[in-house]
Amino acid sequence: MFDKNRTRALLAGFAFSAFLAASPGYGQGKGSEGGNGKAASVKVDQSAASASNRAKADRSGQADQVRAGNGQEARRVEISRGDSGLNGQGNSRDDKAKSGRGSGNATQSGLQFGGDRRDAPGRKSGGSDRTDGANSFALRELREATGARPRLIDGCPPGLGKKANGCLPPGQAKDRYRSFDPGFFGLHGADGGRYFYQDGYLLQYRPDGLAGFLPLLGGALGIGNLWPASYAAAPLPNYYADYFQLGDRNGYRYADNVIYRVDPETTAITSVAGLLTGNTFEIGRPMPHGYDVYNVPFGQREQYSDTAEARYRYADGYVYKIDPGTALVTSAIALVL
Amino acid sequence: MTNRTMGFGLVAGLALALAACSGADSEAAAFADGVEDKRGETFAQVLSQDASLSIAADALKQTGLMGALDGKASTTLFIPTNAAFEALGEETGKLLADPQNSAITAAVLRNHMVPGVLDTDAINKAIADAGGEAAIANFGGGVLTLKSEDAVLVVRNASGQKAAITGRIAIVGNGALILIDSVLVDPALLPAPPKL
Repeated sequence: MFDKNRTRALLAGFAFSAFLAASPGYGQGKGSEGGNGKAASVKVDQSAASASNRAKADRSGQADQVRAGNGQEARRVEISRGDSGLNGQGNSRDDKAKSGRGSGNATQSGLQFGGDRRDAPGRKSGGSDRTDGANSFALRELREATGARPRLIDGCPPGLGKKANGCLPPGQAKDRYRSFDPGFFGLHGADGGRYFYQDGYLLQYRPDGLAGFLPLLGGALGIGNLWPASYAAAPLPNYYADYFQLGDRNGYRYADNVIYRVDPETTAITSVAGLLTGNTFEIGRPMPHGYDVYNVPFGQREQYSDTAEARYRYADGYVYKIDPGTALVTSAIALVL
Repeated sequence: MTNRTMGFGLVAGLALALAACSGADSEAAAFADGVEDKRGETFAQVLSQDASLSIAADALKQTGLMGALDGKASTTLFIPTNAAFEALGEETGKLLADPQNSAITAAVLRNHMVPGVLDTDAINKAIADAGGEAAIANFGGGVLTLKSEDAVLVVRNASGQKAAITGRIAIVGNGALILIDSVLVDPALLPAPPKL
């Protein structure tokens, strides 16, 4: 199978690569407006959402600072819960000792910082009560971002209605289209109903007709396509703008656990910046199912290797510390690379 | 790529041992036979050098997922070989390559991507610790399971399709590539010719 000539022969028969090369860019230049004139059910301005998010952060007055370290390390913020009802109390001290950096910086609040200082505007520092707030705020932000349900856009997708096999009546759609569970496309928690795939969209049908559609990664949300103006982009926590180096808040969109870079002027999708798991992480709660295997990135392995006292797992830009005995998440370590 | 590095039968014996050293950036890694240290290269670079992975590489580019792989977050990709895609059939291959079906192709690939960096040492340890079967969350919102069957590591999806980890494992700059010999997808979800 690794012989080049044989591979070429197989490829010729399979025709996948040739097909890719010969095919025009799918959906290039598609418009972003609805094709049937129906008003969109939801419309969220990403800038406004982000601004709201930031404002919320500012209002919270929660500590989110990074103390000066050696200036060469990745900026890290560890969030752990300091209240007495949880396992892992005091773990941040243990981590600091192990990392060999920032020893003595641990606060009773449970916040541990390393690297350069990074005060959020308007935020105050210190205080165990604020720490509990910071914990709940930071992780709630994550849960809100990854827990948003896919929101249907009313009507027929732009351009599809004009096609001969576009948005068909329910009976014909059932005969013509392939039926899918939205979960196959990572769209968990979508509204009930029957979904059919067509041209990079999932069309949702109810007994009385087409209800709406969802644009899909790689399809309607493919590179070069305009971001559908009527598709709600969820607020993305500020942390991810830093982590993925997204820059201008008009330069990206986040939907269905996918982060897209877009041209701020045209809203054309330019790349997929990153994926999130959509899993829910909460300090004091069990680690979600699916993290049996040690998976910490190489750059952090020295600091966060599994021991008898702690396990570490990576997901969505954080390293989570887990108590092996209880399997509860005891802290979340932010990695701003 | 040499046949040696890409050969089969590496699975159970493949081990990635990190040498203890002073700093993450200067960290040196010792790799057992067959595990390649490609940390100086991106996913795209490594894939472009391997003709046996060209189908997946082309599909990752077409769907935009190559951007996510070479983005900031660490990812492990269970990557089906060309032979794995070819086993789906020529007609299915053409349909997967059809840009009209790119979203289906993207969904298939996304379900092969998991967060972080996995290696065989960690996988084998997790399987042992978990009593014979380890679970890993994928970026499609599902869970893959790993176990050892007849001294070969296999990975399964929720609908029961399985693939053997029988080829290369490469640690790249931002994650890991683990070759598998089947595409993890329910055949009923693959593109099909129009019904009419």
